[in-house]
Amino acid sequence: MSAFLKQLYADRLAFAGLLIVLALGLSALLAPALAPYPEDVYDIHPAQRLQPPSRQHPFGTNHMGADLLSRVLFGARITVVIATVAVGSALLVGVPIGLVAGFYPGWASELLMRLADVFLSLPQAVLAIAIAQTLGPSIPNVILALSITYWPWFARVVFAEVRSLKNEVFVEATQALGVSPWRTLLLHVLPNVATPIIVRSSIGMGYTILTAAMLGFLGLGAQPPTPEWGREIAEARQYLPEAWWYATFPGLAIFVTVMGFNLLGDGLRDVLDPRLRRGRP
Amino acid sequence: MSSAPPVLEVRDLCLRFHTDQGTVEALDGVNLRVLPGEILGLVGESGCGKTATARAILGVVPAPPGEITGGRILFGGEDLLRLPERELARRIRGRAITLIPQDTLGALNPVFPLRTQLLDVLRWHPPEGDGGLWGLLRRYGRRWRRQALAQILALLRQVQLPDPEGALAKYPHEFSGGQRQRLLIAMALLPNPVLVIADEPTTALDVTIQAQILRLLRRLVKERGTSVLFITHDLGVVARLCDRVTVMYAGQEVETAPTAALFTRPAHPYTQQLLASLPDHRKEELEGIPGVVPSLIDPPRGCRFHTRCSQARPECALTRPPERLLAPGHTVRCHLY
Amino acid sequence: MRRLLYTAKRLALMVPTLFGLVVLVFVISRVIPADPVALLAGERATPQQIEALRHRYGLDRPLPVQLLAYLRQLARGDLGTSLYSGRPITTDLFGRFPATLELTLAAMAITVLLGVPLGVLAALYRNSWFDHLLRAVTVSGLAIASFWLAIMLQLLFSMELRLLPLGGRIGVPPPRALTGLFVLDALLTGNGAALRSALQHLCLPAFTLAFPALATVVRFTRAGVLDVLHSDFILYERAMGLPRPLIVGKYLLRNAMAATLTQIGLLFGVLLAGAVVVETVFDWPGIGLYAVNAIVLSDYNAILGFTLWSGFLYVLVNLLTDLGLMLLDPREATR
Repeated sequence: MSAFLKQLYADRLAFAGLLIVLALGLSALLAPALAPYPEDVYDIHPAQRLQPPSRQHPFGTNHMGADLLSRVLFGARITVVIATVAVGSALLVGVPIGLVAGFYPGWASELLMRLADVFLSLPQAVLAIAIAQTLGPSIPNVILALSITYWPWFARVVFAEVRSLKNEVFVEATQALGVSPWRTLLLHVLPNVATPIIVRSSIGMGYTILTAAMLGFLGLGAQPPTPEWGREIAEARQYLPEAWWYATFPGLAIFVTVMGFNLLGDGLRDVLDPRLRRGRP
Repeated sequence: MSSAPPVLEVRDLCLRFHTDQGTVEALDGVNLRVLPGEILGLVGESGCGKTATARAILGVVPAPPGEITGGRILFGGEDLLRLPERELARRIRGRAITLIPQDTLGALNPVFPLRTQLLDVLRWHPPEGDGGLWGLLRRYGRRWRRQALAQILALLRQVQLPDPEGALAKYPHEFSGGQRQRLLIAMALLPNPVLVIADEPTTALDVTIQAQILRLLRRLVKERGTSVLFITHDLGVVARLCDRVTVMYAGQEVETAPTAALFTRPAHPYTQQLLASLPDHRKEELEGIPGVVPSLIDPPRGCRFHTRCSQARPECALTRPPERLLAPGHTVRCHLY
Repeated sequence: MRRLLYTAKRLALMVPTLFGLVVLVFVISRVIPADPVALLAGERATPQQIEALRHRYGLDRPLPVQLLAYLRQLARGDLGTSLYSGRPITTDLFGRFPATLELTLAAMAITVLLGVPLGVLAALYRNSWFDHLLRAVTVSGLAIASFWLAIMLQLLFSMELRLLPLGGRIGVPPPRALTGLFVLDALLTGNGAALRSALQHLCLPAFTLAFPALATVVRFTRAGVLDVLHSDFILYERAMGLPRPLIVGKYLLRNAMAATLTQIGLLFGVLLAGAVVVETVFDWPGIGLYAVNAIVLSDYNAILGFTLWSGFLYVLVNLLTDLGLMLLDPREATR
């Protein structure tokens, strides 16, 4: 484990990614303590609306007079919840499907993977828009829409890995030794597909945060006054170009966060699996 | 042997590769001479530096990690190591010296039909001289193309490729291994070179096709008087094809002799063990020399074979033996002589 | 012959995918919502109205029957009627498609014409300062939210510097419609003023849309070139004395492009989805903006029509990419 961290540390960019991700986690966890004006998230101060960045309000204030830094910090909470739950449930659906479909070839497996392909035959964001719109605008629905669009990626990746692993000597050996297939699958195959799952998850977090922000921007996610970053930028548009800070800081938050996950994902891929190239998605 | 000056003379060639594990002393003072019109076999186990020697001669050693640290490669009175890259590409590579590569499928560009690759070789290295920019423009014209295709077809017939006209439009993967080898021979002979370097060209082929192709290659180069540096690990091929042989071990050449002399009177202990490892003439792969090939990252000093040599003496570990002349054309580098 | 066979095979494979796509959209529209009719009717509808609608759209029948009816309707090229404009959705989509096509093509052109050479250079001079700079840019490209990039570009170029228009497609009367692509039409009719205006309006949206795709193309081209750079055939071509510019520009590029082309097909989906937000921010009258208006108005049929249409285009473009790949790399056809 320490050798792994050392390697990650050697890749400066990946380490920067890790730091960003940790910082995001911390600010999500400690938002009420870190935010200069935690009550501002929902309070209205007409007297100090649209103030430019200053010592009291490093990111300025919004059209309600709320401190933008506080709102961005609380936004991190929402973002972390959306992305973690969405990627987590996509993982819980996609990984078992990929495992079983890869391990037991047959018509049912074929059908499952075809189903995954159908989901991938639509541009992901378009699918997310359609589902989120059907479900109605709310954060749980955004999470649902994102997990529905993201599970096929996990299924595909795991499926491909398991299929190539099946022919490896050690898997055949465990089967020859009479180890039950489920045991083989969970104790021998799953640990070996952990790498692509971890890499996929990190990149998926970045992707999910971007898509969630887009849904928020389009009005399909959180409703005001929830301090969701995408929604915030949509609100800020009407106050441009005067209140430039209003649109700038939530966007920067998205940028830095997604950058963190992407750098971490790339670094993890290089450290865990040097065979894979630095290409994406 | 012949008194004519050699076509190619490699003197004390040293080559290193800088890797993560350390510096690999891949070639340590390699000497060899190719005489006009002869086929010289360069024999040794895999990893002994045969291919590295060939790449150094062609000037395509990847650098980094490769670095040529010493020696000379004399070709037509010039030291190729001192020629600038442009000159090498224009006058030497693909023109005076050509290559028949080992991996027939990997060496041909998969996404172009054969015609394109053959035409480009001829276009950039016309036997009649390149004629500057104007000449190059002319060679993109239709008239030149027609002549060139005729020339190519004639050569494809000489290498006995079936249906040469149809072959021109095909892609590399559409040919069999033997057919591709014929093609690559044709490509190597196309610019009418002085020297052809063949890098284990028949290794991947089955024995009957291998014999056919070797016969064909020998006939074609002898007709033209082209010299060949034939790299192989297969002593059976050497016996059938080569006029003279140089044996290499771990980045050093150890013995050079006319083929018949090498097989009847091998002098170097390594050569003797190589020959002894052929129990009968049907079994032609090298195997069964005691010990392992030393690592070239920290190679043995002196004669590199001394770690595996049953007759090694104390001085073998200290100095590399000088070249000794045993008989006309037969030299060996061993402290026993 | 082999190519023809391959084309036929790929076309045949398209059928189940498209069928799956239709079923997926059907499920989204009829199964996920608790009461699709309530969605159709809007919030102010009376129970009687809802009941009437339910019967009118056949939503009181069993799901398989509904699916069959839906398929039959689609087979006629009917995507339903927009609840807002009252027009057939196909009419709306076709009318707005040229705008999206123009934007997407412009973004694609930027992506390929800039991304491929940059990727090749990054590979040839890898680990140079240029490569590192480009890597930083591409990593950013994949992390930036395109709606935010669009707003920032507007803020800088339109509001502060006043160099480029804030939004819209053209600032003068549009050129006579031949193709529906303003730039092309202006060129064909020799309408200089329209050309100038159309290009100015195209600048920011096309760049915004292209930026993430550009990052992907650079990365894949770089990786592809590096892969090929160390292959046996490049070594052989060098050993045969072919000049370096010829090797790089002709022999290497064609091979490396195979990897890039696959990505370009996938990127089209990214562009199509990106068009939704980019068109919104730049007020670009394409199908993306149509979809967003439909979201705002809860014009549920229109959103599903847009979804199906996007999926269809995406499948089609991926088919074309595969066929292009076959032309680029003859080994594809035998796989």
